[in-house]
Amino acid sequence: MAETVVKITNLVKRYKELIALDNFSMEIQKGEVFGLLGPNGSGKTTTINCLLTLLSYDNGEIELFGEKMTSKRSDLKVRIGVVPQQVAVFDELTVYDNIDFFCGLYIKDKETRKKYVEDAIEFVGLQEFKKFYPKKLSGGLLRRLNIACGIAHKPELIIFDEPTVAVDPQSRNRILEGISRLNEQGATIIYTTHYMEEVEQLCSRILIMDHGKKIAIGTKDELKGMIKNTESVIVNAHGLTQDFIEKVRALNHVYDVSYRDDTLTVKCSGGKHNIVHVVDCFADNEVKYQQIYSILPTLNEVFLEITGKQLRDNE
Amino acid sequence: MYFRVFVYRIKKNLRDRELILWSLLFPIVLGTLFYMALGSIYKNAAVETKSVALVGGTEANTEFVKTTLEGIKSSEGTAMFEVIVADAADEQKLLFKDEVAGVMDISDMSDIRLHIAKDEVAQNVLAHVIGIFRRNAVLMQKAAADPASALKIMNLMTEDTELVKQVNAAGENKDPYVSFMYALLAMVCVMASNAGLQVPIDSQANISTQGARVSITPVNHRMYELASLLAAFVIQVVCTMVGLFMIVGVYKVNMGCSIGFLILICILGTMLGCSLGFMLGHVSKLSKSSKEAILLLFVTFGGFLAGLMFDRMKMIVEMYCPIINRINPSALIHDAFYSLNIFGVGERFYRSMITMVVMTIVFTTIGLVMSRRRSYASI
Repeated sequence: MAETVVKITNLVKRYKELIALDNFSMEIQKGEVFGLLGPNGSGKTTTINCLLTLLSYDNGEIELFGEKMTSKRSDLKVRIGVVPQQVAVFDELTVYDNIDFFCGLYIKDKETRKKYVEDAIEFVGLQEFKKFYPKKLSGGLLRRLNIACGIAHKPELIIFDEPTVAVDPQSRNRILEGISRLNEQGATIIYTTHYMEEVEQLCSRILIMDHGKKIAIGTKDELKGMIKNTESVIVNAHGLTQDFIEKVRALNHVYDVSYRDDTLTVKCSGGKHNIVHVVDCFADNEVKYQQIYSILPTLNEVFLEITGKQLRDNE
Repeated sequence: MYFRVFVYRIKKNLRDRELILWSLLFPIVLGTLFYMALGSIYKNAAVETKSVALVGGTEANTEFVKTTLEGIKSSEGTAMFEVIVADAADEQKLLFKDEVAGVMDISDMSDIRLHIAKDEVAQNVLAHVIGIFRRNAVLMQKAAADPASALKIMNLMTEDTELVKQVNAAGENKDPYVSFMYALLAMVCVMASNAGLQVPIDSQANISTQGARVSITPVNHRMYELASLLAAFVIQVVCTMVGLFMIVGVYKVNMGCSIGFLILICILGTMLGCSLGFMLGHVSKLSKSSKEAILLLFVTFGGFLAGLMFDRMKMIVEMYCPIINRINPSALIHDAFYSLNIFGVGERFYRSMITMVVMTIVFTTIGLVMSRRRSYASI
């Protein structure tokens, strides 16, 4: 049985009248890439801050590596690395000095620290920028420096709090690849974001939260299995009649059909090869179409179906 | 580990252009302005004879005091006081028109009262003379009551007379404008509070992202802050020394005391400034900008009360609320310079220095107590 790295039980956090975390519980096993998914204000960062004992909480328990986490547990803190949402480096220190400074708060031995710092610089690909000051770095490079400062001491548990916000696609891919590599090297990862495609790409298990509550938890396939829609077939066709639309609606596994702006959307629940049945229906009735394709459900649809709202409510 | 923190904080502070610029430019620019504005009169003017008014005394007492005061001479041999006899009703007019250095009410010789409108050398000498009068009055009463001790008492009275002479000759630069330079150096020292304030800002999770990152590390928070404070202090001492060098070395201003004591006061003053900022950074949950604004207000107003903008302000504060001069860091540092110049190393100088040390310890302790590792209700 895998070791439980993080165990949060019935966590309650209130900001006066607002309940930021409402009896929130979760468990993360060693070696997982655990995605914490939710819209802005859902309680992801509050959960992380409580976990790190930066925030006090009203009720509940937090255990790390099987032991109760408190602000005085230096022995547990040394095993954690954090990449915060906002870049947290000193503008007055170079790339190398920043990483060396923060690594030095964990690692006392000079030689070990030196090696770790070099490893971290290589890991995030900042070899050419060692002597640069943060203000001279682009947004993507700055994010990489932020990551290097959080992981240089080779922690067992690494928390990434929305590390790809406002990052260009190239840097984003590099960051996501880096996180996968860290996981391959043995680190347990907690990854909070509201970008579902990142979670789908990275995470072995996902927890969806909203209003401080756990909405759903599981692998991405398990989560997608929780909703009615399993496939949407989209057809671009001009001048479809109501009679024909009713014939499509009558196909097996089809539970909803809509036709708007020359686009027919056929939603299916269960069944295989639904797109083939739709194509056959068009052929049998000698109806022409320009384009036909199938879309599998995303986590956004999972979120939409469970909560009734879009995940990316700010975009 | 904490030595590394110290070294990196030195590096960080040296690269903090805003902090360094203010710490260095302030004494250089303001010192230059003072020098340009007041430099032409930066000469040790000969001691001028000041008028003193006597009110309320009998003819014999008035004559006695008049003879005593007119007998006080500066080290150059100039009489320090010219005595005029006036009515008590004219006292306010004489003082506020600056016609006399002070008004002595001698209606009761055992309790002579001195009324002054300024706190300069002449007034301080008068205050000492009155002190001697009071003590001698008591000694004379004792001698009358116990004739056997008269000889011993006479010796004591002679010693006191010597003391007056020594105090009178202690100062080296009696130019009142040197006071602006004291106030300037005092303000430079207190402005080190900005560097002190930066320490909690960079280490508290609810104020800065860097603070959040530091807070989740396993380091001892207090030791971390102490190492950071020490680094801030070292950088600020260097900046204060540059200011001192500009005033003493470049503009050749006679500060009235030895360079060793000047350096000592600057070091203690900078320590006090750093610890003040360190404490203010810890005592509230305000944002970074609010804390910086409060500190700026505190430093500027403290400088004003210490006489940086208006030279008589310190005296006014001394008259109406002397406790402020005892706890205002700017006034304390200013007073250390002033008392060293006028009275030499003595009670008043030691009082200022000891108060500075005690306040530094208190401020730093308050800051350290409040810097305990903590979880915040919100960040």
